Amino acid sequence: MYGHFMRRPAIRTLSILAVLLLSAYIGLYLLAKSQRFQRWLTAQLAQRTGYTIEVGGLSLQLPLRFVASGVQVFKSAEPILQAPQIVITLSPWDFISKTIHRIQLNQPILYFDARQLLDSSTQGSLGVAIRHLTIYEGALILKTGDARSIDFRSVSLSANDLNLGQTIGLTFRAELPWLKSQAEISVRSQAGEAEAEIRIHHTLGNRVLALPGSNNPSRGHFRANVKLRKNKPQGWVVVAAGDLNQFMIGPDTTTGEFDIKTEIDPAFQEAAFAGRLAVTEFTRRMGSIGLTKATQPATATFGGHYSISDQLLHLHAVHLQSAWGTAEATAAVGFAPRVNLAKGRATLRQIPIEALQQFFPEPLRALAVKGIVESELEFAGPWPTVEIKGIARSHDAQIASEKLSLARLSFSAPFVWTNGSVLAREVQIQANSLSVNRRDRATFAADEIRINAVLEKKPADALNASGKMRILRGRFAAGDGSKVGEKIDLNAHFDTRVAAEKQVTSLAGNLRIDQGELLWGRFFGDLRARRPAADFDLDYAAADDTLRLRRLSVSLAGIGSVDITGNVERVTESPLLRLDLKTDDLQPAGAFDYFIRDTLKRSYPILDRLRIAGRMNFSVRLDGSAEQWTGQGNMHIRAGEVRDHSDKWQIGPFDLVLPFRVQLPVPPSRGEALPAIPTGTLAITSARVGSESIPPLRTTVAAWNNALEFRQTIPISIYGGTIEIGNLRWQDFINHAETVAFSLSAKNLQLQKLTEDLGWYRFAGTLSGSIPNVESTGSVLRTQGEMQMEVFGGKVRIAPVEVKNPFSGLFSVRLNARFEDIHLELASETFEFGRISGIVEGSVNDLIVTSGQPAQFIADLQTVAKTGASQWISVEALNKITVLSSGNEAGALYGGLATFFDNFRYSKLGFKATLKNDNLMLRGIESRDGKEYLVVGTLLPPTVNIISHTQQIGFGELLRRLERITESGSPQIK
Amino acid sequence: MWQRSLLMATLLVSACVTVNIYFPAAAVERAADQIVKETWGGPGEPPKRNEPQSRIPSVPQSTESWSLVPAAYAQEADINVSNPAIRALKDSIKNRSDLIKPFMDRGSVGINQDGLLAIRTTDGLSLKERAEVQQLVEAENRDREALYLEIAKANNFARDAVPKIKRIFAKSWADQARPGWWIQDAQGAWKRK
Repeated sequence: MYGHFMRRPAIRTLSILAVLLLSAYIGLYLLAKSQRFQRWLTAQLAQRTGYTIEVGGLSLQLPLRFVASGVQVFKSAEPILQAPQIVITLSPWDFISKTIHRIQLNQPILYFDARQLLDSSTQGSLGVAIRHLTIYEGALILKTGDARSIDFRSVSLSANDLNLGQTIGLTFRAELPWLKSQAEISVRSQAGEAEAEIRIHHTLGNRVLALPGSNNPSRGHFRANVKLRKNKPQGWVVVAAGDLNQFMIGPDTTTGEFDIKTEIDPAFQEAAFAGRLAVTEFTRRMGSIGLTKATQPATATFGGHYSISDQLLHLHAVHLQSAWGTAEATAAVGFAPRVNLAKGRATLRQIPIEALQQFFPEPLRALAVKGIVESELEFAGPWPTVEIKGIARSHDAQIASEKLSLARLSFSAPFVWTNGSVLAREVQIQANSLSVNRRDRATFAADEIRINAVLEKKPADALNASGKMRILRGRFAAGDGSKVGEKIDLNAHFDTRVAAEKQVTSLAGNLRIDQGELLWGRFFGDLRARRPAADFDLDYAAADDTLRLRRLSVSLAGIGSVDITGNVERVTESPLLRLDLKTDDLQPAGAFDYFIRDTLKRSYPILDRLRIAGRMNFSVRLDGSAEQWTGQGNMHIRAGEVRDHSDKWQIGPFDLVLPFRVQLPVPPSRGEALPAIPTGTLAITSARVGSESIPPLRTTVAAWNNALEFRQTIPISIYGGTIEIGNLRWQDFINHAETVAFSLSAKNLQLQKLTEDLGWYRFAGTLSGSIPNVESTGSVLRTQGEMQMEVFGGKVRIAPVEVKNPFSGLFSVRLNARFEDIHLELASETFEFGRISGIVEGSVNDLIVTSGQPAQFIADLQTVAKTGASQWISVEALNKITVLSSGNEAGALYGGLATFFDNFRYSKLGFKATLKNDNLMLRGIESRDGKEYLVVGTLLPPTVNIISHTQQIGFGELLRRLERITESGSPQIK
Repeated sequence: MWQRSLLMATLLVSACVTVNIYFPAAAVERAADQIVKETWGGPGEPPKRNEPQSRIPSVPQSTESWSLVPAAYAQEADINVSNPAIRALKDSIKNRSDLIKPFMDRGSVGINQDGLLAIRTTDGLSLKERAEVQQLVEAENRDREALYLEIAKANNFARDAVPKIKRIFAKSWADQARPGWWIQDAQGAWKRK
């Protein structure tokens, strides 16, 4: 019950209190809305501040927020403030402490008179504090006199704790979101002097960041002290000094100090200033390029004056001293109607190239550079489209890296920079020592490089560079020294376009090598006579590491040119080729002379005897890597010719049309299914061996998967007969050109002409036979089958034949020969040995002829008695046999009765001989009583026996005896 | 009884004569000296070989067996070094010698321990000379290899005799080299004569 009685008065009291408060709020609301109250309020404010205040309307919003609309503040009829809306929020507690809780000005226009602002005596005191001041999208108009003003648009400000009622005049904090900072600004004003102190702290969220290494949180990342002193009658003096402590602008920090003194004339027309800025650490960005952090101190002094009335800034002397060089500059900057630069001049000296390295393309930034750049600049024009004209120069610079060095680099680059576009004409670059060392130990070097170029870069466009380049005394060397180039003078014209965004570099132009020497393994090439040249038009796409050749034409004087198009993928890793090569007029003779003859003639002397002629064109598609590639295309040789230099033989003119497919390092296995292999034709219009002409012939030929084969039998009509070459095939003419197989048959070749052309003794007869298989492997050619000569009334069967080193000086032939029914009379007459009649048979086995000399044989030849065949031997023949076997003339031996006869009967004639290591072991046809009979006489006279007493004959002695036989003409029997 | 047996055994053992077929080093040396003189002889220093010593049969370089009994050595005869192949090779080497000697004089080419030529250095040579010296040395070594092989074949030496022939020729080339030419010793070190 007691509680019930106690609760009822409380409820009643609260209800009354609520009614009173509601009534008061309603009263206040109505009061604020009343015109009378508004007039009273503006009058009170005008009285206290001296300003004329007009308010379009005033209303109260919950809880205690006054919204004034159409507010205008004037002083002496001059506008001070115009605001569409001002919101003032009051708090009972703040109200007690003469503090306005919040003032928010929406889109206000604030007018300041600079002179009045600088004149501290005009400052008033409201004795009111503002806890929060917010200006949203406002404008500040600084009136500088003579109806001129400087406008600051889109100003937003958030300040806290503004104290407008103390002697310091004004204190507030402001958020600076664009600096991620908070500023504390206090303005003091005393008689004739105003002082402002500004501190800026970087913040993280709402937390103020402490300075690294400092325990004094009040120090600030930026601190400035600005003193304004009225200096009658000269005007005003503004002195500002301060420091920056790792002050962040964007991601970069700056540390340093500054001081500036400005004197403003009494008429507020001119301001003369001088200052100094010293920084120990700063970073900046230039466009998208970050500059290297500088830790060396930099000092700038500057002086000039600013015409307030003309809004024109004159910089008389700007001097910058830093580790990045020195700069002297003068300029005039106008600020009305917009910022405009005029008469700007700057001279930059002692700028280390390292400082500019960050402007280089990415690969060049890793280089160690040394050198000094100087530049003279002139700049003028409206901001930001200032035009900068100038020239940059450098002398004796050096660039070095692990792989590259460039010494005594000089360049001169006149340029114009306008609105982000750069145009540099007559760029001259000269370097006197270039050295490039690749990872594979290959080196490139040059004594001198000269480049004259024009460079142009427009915003959102590619960098274009065109000009000419000259390399003097260039050289290169592979890591193992097997490929070397020296004394290379190269001229090039180029037109380059670098589209950095697309990562595509285009290059077109041409180059020519005027002189140089090339060593490639055993090949030596003097480039002066061949004048290698190339025309090119290509793109390199870095994104897919691909080189696209629209055109690459490589030419050598006296040989011809090859046009190359296509792509090279994975250029910087393991290149993958997809190229089309084409040539229309290649001279095989030039290529043979230049690349093959001089290179290989010492190893293969036969090459020095060959002469080549004709024209060739081919087209080929290359696919694959450098290690494994396939080439497929067509080749056409026109009016081709191959002949011996002494004209002993000649093949041609001939025409060869040859589709081909080659593959390295190995062709596909034979088991692989292949499409139909295309074939070409070889048409030989003319051929000749000695005086013997060969009629035209035509055959098909195929060169597929490294195999070269003639599928038709090749008939060659020669020496009154026919030679047929069949199944001629190189299994792999790329890797094993020496391995060839074919079949050979000969029919009725007339030996008379053949021996004449070979320079042998001329003798009649025919050569026929068939060798079903001739195989050449390595340096040895072997035959299976038999050749048969029908000669001297009989036959000589030759088989097998083996030829070693056919293309070297150690040419060697090995064969077995079987003699049947050889009529000695015909043979001895042919060989001018003296007349011998009879039939001889036998064999010469293991006959080896090396370099045209018999090196070895086992001979067994003897006459056979045949019906009707007489067996006579002339004195001349006897004499020669005697000389050959004994070394002595036969005159003394055949004296007496023998002198009455020209011929002698014999019953047997023959010998057994072996030759090895220049020793001829000569044995007779019969051995009796230790005597070797070369000729065995008959029972009836006139007859003769020849007994050999010297069975071993050395090579030298044998040569002497043969010479004597050759020289001895008529018989010398006495 | 046992004394008689011992005596018989001693007599049998002492009566055994081992004939060693050995490589005729001295004969090959003489042949090498002669070939080197024929091919590269001329203005160089005359060979200073001690002739009597060279004629003494050299110590066998390879014996097929060893025994307690004294060995009897086969009489050493001159070897065969004349046939068309060897003559052609000698001619080829001789014809080339005047082209190579300037490079020997300049130290670019030396005689190695295998009786072949080796390019020691290409310093001071133009590229044309470098190509030329490569071609010459390659052709020369091909001929020398063939020469050593032909000598072995002509004398029915086993193929493993070729390295011995090479070493002997290496000594001859070195002995008859001009002062100032570079020679490679058996350890592979280059020394100037």
